Amino acid sequence: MKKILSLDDSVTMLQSVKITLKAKGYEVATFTKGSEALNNLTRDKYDLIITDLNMPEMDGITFIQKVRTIPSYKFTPILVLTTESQAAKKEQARKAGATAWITKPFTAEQLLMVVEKIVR
Amino acid sequence: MEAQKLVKVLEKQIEKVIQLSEAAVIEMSQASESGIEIVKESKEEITASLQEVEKLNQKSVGDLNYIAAENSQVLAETEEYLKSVIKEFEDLFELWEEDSQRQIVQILEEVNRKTRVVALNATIEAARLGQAGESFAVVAKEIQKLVDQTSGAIAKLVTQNRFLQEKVKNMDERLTLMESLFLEKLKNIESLVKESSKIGEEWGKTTAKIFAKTEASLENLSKVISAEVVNFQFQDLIAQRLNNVIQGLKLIEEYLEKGEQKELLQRIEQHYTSEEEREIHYQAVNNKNIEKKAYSAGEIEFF
Repeated sequence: MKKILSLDDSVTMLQSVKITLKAKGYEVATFTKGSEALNNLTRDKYDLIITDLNMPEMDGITFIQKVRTIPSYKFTPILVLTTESQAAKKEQARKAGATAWITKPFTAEQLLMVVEKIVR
Repeated sequence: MEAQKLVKVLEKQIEKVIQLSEAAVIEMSQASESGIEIVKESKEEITASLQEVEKLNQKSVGDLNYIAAENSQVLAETEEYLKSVIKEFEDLFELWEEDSQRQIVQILEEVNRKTRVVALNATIEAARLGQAGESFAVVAKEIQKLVDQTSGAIAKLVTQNRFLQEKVKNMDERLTLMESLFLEKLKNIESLVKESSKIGEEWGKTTAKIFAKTEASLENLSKVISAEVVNFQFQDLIAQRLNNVIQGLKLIEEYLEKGEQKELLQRIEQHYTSEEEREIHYQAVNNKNIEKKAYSAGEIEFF
């Protein structure tokens, strides 16, 4: 069973992502804070990371940069789920090490299609 | 001061709305999660039951087919055996047929008749010889006795033969009757077993169909719940937008407090997290009508 880490400051968003992916057999761990998610990444092994961008404690770009410094997560796919769609933001995320981008709101099919495509 | 308080009140009201909507959606999403879990468990139980039923059905159909095959063999063997027994009886009966018996009796009667003639001749000869023929007379008497006994034995033999003949005939008839009844029963059993096997197979197919339909319904239910759950994200999107409105109100509050108007519009713009917010801002500031634009919701990009 593939394991996914999902980070978002909104609990409702985390629930949406978790239930949608769990229904397809993925195991999903949810976090509202980037620091907690980072701590957990080193304790567990995930096949995919999903993150929001605009978060109060640690923004998504910083989170992605920190993830890429962990040797075992150098090539793990990272999906950005955000309301942002500016090209500049996308470029920032790409440079930080993101693998794919979905602009919110999204459908269950869109999320599953992207996850199935990039998950390792 | 009054306006400042009013702005504060509006901020708090909006914050409360966000909290309430979040709590409601979290509760709904948890209920949906439990629902999906229940559906998943039910599906697993149904799959397990289906496998069990299929296993049992396959076994019962297998057993019935085995019984049917065994029964057919027993039926064939019994039929053959009964036919051979009947044939034995018929052969036996043939041996006791009236003609054969009559021939034997005729031979015996002929022997008896000739013996009687011998006895008569012996008597005559004894009388002719007088005293010298006394011993001859004794022999003649003995022969006569033998003839009488033989006649009695022949009569008895005929009677017994007839009795035996009747018995054999009855037995043959009973066996023939038994053969037809017994074979009929066995054939009935055979067809019943075959019918049961067919019913078992049909039942298995029907049960599998029912289970498959139930499984498909549960799968659909799970899909419907999942599809609904994804809509809970709109609470977050609305909350985000309302939080940005609160940020705007805070700026107004600050302005009312300090009277500083500098870069208010630019500062609120920095809080926006979506293109739509920026566009609405731009159109409102420039007093332009808001035109419907295709926003990039659900836009996917692979890097």
